[in-house]
Amino acid sequence: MSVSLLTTLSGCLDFRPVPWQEPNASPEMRTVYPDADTTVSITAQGAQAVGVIVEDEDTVTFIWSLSRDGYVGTATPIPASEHAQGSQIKLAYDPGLDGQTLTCVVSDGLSEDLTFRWQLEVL
Amino acid sequence: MRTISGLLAFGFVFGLAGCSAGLDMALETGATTFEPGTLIAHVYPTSDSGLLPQTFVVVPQVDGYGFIDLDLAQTVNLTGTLTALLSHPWNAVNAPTTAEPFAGSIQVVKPGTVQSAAVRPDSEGLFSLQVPAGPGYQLYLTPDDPTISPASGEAGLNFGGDQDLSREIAAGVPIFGRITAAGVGVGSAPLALTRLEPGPQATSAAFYTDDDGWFVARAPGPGSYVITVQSGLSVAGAVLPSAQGFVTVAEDGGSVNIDLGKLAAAVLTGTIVDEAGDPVRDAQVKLRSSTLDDVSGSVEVTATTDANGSYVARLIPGQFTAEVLPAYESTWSPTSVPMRVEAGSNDMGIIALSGWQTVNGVVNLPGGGQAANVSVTATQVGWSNYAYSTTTDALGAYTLNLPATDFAVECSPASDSGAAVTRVDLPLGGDPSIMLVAGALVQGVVKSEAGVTAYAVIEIRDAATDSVLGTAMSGDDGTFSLSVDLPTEPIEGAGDTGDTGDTGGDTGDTGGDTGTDTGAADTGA
Repeated sequence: MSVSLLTTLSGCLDFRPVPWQEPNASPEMRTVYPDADTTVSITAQGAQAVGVIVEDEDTVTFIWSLSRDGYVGTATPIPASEHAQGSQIKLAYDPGLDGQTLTCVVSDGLSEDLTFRWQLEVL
Repeated sequence: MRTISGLLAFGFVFGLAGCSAGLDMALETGATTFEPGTLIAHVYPTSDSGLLPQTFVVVPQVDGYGFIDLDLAQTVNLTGTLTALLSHPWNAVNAPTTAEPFAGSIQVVKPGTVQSAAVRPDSEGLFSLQVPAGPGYQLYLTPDDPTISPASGEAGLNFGGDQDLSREIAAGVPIFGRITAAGVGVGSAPLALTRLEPGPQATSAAFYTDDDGWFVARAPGPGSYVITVQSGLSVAGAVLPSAQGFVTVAEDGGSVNIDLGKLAAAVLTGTIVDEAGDPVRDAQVKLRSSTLDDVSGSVEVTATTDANGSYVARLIPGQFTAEVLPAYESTWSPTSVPMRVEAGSNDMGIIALSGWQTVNGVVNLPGGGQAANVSVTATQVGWSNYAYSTTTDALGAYTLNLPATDFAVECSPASDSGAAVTRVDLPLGGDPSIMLVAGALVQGVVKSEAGVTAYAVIEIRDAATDSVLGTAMSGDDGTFSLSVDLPTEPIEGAGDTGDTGDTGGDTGDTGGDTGTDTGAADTGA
């Protein structure tokens, strides 16, 4: 049975070795400031910077959003070294930010996303 | 690193002292006292380094910036207990003697730098903060209820190591008065009290007038203060213009009354649509007054469109400008419309938003040739300051879909391209071709007591204008390199910037530096 099956298969299929493809690696976190999953205190004394740098061979997108206000459109890229890509936002004093969660989703479109979150507190 | 001449070394040591004092002076007065070409470097170390973001001043030398040491200070812990002597609002003389846990926020900040930390003490008044070691810090204590405890500040704090910052906040003295509109008390008006002098300008949390317009707040002591009426909707629903009243406070307190003028009610309605006439939802309509009828001050109110594109705003009569700001993820452009608002109902009709523009440009290298793989970021000038990014292809070409507004474009080439981070204005309809400039090389190392600091973000700014000139990241060995396009005349003849013998510097930050490199950087303390 086995023999006849193999014979049959070999007659109709091409069994050349298939090149092994490494699965696409997710972006790897290099720098995040302040620490993710912490509370970011925003005061009237200057803007608070929040940034993420990751390493990935693919082009990476950074999507910033606030839990109530939606997408944050003021993020700017951080040009970094080879394969390292980053994004930063500056949070100016705004009482409306109090209690919101800031999220940054990092995606190369090919593998699992990285997600960073910060709880915002306006003092 | 390279060895510098004795003259440069001399200039370097005093340069540190001079630039350091200059920073503090500029920060406290708001003046820009920096020599042309002076840079500010904000450094954001990776969170697992145990180090915190810090700011450095980079002073140009006669032949460039040399190799800069950005030596990060260690983190210090500031802990303690805050208590407050809470006073009955009208009690000026018989101050309480029993302290209670402080309810509010404590902030430690080095003005003009990224060095700051803030927290709310727990219910026992206990707190813990972390900041980089160094001098030049200010402390702000802001109680939640400024009617029973004053907001206060201290300057000139030096944190050489872990420190107990416990404080007992005195009851202070009362400031009272009345907010009126054409002589009638205004209830629920939001107010803030700011100390102008002496000491740091501590501002209180918001407090409110009572139903008859009366207010009281605590001041930390004698001095000059300003009461600010905050523009916008009051809790009671009235539209209030911004206003200020100055008051000199003596040992037993002070008083000030503010009359806002005649506040007639007006309601504004309108609809925002796109080019096809379909409603645009979630657009912000920012209404700013240019002149107000019978009222001084100004009003700014923001409304948001609903699913029908409709908005409603309460205002007071006057001349206004409406800025319509679509959401970031929309494909519509902002617009601005002047409008006259009368007492009563005002229907502003329909405002139609135009679509986006497609910008096709080419980025060229300074010596000619197309610049491939350049990060291009276009940031809206004004409006919402939205930013849009892409990267040039192998031919140096880029395409961006943008709202129809003016933009500032920043091009960040690879560090080995021989070109600097270049900024150009891109007015609506302007030429999107960009020629990169050679710029000035800024290179150095980020380090600390523990050794080099990898993967730190270094943001370089022009000290005179505070505009960002470029951003880099340190490599595995802590080094970084980028070229920046200086908007101010840079280096020539600037090596003597520190030879003024300024004694206000922080010599502590030069400790351990043998003067064998040109690392003209200091923590700005």
